[in-house]
Amino acid sequence: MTARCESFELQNGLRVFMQPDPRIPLVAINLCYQVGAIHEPPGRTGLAHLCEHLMFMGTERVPHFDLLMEAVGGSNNAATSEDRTIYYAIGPGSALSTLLWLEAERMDGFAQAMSQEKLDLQREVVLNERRQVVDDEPYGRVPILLGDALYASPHPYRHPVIGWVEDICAITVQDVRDFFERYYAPSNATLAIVGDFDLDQSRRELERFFSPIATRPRPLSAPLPPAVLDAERHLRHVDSVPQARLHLAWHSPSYLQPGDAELDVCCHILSQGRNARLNRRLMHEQQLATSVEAVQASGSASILLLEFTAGEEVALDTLRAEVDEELRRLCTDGVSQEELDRARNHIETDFVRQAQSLQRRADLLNQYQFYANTPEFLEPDRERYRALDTEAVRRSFQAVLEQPRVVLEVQPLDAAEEQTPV
Amino acid sequence: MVPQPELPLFTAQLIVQGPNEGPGRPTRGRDERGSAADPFGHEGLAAFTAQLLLEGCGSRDALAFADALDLLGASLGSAATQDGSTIHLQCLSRFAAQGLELMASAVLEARFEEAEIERIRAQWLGALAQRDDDPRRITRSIGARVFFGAEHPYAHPEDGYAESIQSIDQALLQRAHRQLWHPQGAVLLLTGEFAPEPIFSLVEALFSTWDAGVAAQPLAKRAVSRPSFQRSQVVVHPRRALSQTQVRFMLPAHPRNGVMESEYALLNAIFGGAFTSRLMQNLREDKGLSYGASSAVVRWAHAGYWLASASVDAQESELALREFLYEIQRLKSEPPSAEELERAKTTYLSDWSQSFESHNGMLAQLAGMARYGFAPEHLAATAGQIAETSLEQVQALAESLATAPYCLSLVGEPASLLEALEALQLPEPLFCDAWGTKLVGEAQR
Repeated sequence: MTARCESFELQNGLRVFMQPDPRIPLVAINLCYQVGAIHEPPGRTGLAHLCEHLMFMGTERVPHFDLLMEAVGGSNNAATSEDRTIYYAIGPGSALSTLLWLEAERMDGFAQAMSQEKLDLQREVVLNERRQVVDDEPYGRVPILLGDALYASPHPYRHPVIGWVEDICAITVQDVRDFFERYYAPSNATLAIVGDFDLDQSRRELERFFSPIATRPRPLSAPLPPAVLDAERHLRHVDSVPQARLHLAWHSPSYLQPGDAELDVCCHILSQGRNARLNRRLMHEQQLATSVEAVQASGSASILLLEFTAGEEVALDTLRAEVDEELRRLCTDGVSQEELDRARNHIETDFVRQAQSLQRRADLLNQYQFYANTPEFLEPDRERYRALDTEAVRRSFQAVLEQPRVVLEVQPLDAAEEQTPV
Repeated sequence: MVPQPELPLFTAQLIVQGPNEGPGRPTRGRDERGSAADPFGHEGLAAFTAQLLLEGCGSRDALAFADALDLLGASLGSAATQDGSTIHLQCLSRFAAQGLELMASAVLEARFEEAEIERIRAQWLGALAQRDDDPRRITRSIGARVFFGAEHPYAHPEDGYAESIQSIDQALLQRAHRQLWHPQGAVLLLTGEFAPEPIFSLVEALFSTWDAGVAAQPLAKRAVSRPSFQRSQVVVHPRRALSQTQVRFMLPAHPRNGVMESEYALLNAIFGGAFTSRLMQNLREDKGLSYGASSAVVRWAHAGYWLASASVDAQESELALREFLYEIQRLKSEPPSAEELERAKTTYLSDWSQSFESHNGMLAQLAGMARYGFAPEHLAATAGQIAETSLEQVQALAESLATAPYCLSLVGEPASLLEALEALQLPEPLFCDAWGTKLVGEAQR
């Protein structure tokens, strides 16, 4: 599944990873800036995400970024997380030169082209995005409530990536320029290219576009403060939703750190497939839940998150008691070799599925660079799962479960009126 | 020679559908095998039947079957679309034979045990409760019902209604299984890294006993016709305390029968199918009214529609509706330009070629062909057809869209929506519940 990856660094500090693959006449690029919501100054939550939106508003030389992109058959988008911001594009192999030039152009000319008009317009778009994914989305406030409960102020993972409305409204043109100047430096970025291209020619073009961009110092990132819960936190949220939900969340090992792969495997054993432990118990045998999900949400700060939709007239206390018993069983009795093999087969299938996509492979090169300090970490990543044994899985799970957790109950408006508050 | 990544995946998809006479041929009298075959009062039957295939078959009960799949790390999913039913397998190539055996067992030997039916029904009703609470999905349900007419086979959601799912019993499921899941007109598609001969032999062995006989007591059919949509209509589902209004325009399109495939694809890219499309640029990039506004073309065997939709700032509903209407009219007053068409062709072909990146994408392309009676060669001709499509052809389709009656479905605060509709002189709305049934009196407000 691995292919050769050429890595080099320009004089201004931009690191580049190139992986030719001519199976299909397309090329994908992925430009990762090592800046995310955790880098926002106080009172300016949402700035990293708003900055991502503004990057598509053009520069003085290229006022209509997307028109040029689509004219050569390219399509593109971007994503902001707590840790980083990625800009990705895909198009015919012949379009690579244009895709690279457009990225270089906005890396160089974004700040000069920023204006109040652009900021106000994209602020409205972002506020609409927030209305769509948070305010009007069923259970849309859950991630915000969990973040608030899991992280004590001023932990930078506490606020949502999209930001608080009052902060989004307070962001100024100068805030955007300062943020860009500080974090959108070539030395704070990595560029991955995967697909149908000529290595030497593309490298020459890339150097022509990106090398003239002035060197700026790589910003220093403060280490993340530890995320710790002193005691279990129990929250109850009443919302206009049709069914009650139970969410359980623990702090867990960071991405690629010891314990992370073990928890991935545990999540498979608990909830992937109809015969997974929680699915079998709650959805098949006792029919207390209509959906079950367990996920190790990995990042610089990870969360083990379990989510259950209660069946009709099922009390969340009853559901929680059953869940806790099943979790205890995993901690004490461990997992079987067959369960481990089954989870590994699923994970291996996922690796192969992802490797089909040029865009995903370009993203993975940058992702591994960010978290493992090398773009070529696919094989070691797969090896993490192959090397696991059942006892390591049990131990890692138990270590997380012994920590305090957040219990969040979401109750439908009507049902909540009939119950006493927690 | 550049070393290539190995991608040892195997994918298989079985589609059951009415036999196709081929593109451009009349589809009347077609033997429906998807949700269009759902009898009155049993809406969701085809989808529910498809789901139950995975809940126990042959010598394995539901848990044993799930266990056998999980051991392979395989995914097996089944579903019903409007025009057919389908089951889809993906696994590592080394498990292809075992995966196919499980897939065949699900199709040929489904058990439909009472206990499993009740368990899945409870989960299904939970999912419907969530669907019927989601403003975006409500606009889809109410729009289809008004656009097609309440009794049309395409009017109901594929997953049915709570009452209709409650009405399905074991005998009906067994009858539906025989009626929908038989080999006449069925197509099996295979992609991935595998040796053809052993797999073909296995397919032969697994499916040669598939009984072609249909149910003794066939399902009651609905009359299939083009929707009789003559004048523009507005339907509103009242919902308070939403910060956005859900807007969904539906306009008539041809059925999927080989007619104007390229024109539809290209006009869609110009209208709302790409980031630089007219809708996206106007509503999002120029006015900031929405996170995204888009269009799509939905074409099934008997009818189709254009869709233009967005979630818009509730305070700006009137302006957003005005801009939607403006963009629909502009298709005639300012027809697509040569520059727009050129960009649409480039974008479309690039997007299209991306679908060949993965085995699943390839399978989806082949399934799209097979579903509507196109020969596999049609796929190879796509690029040429797109390139040859003229500006006049696209402009003619654009003009017909601009002058067509539309169905506008809205979910939002009723009083302010009424004001907006009056200000824009749009037809008086029909107020309805989340399933499209008319509300009367106080319930409207």
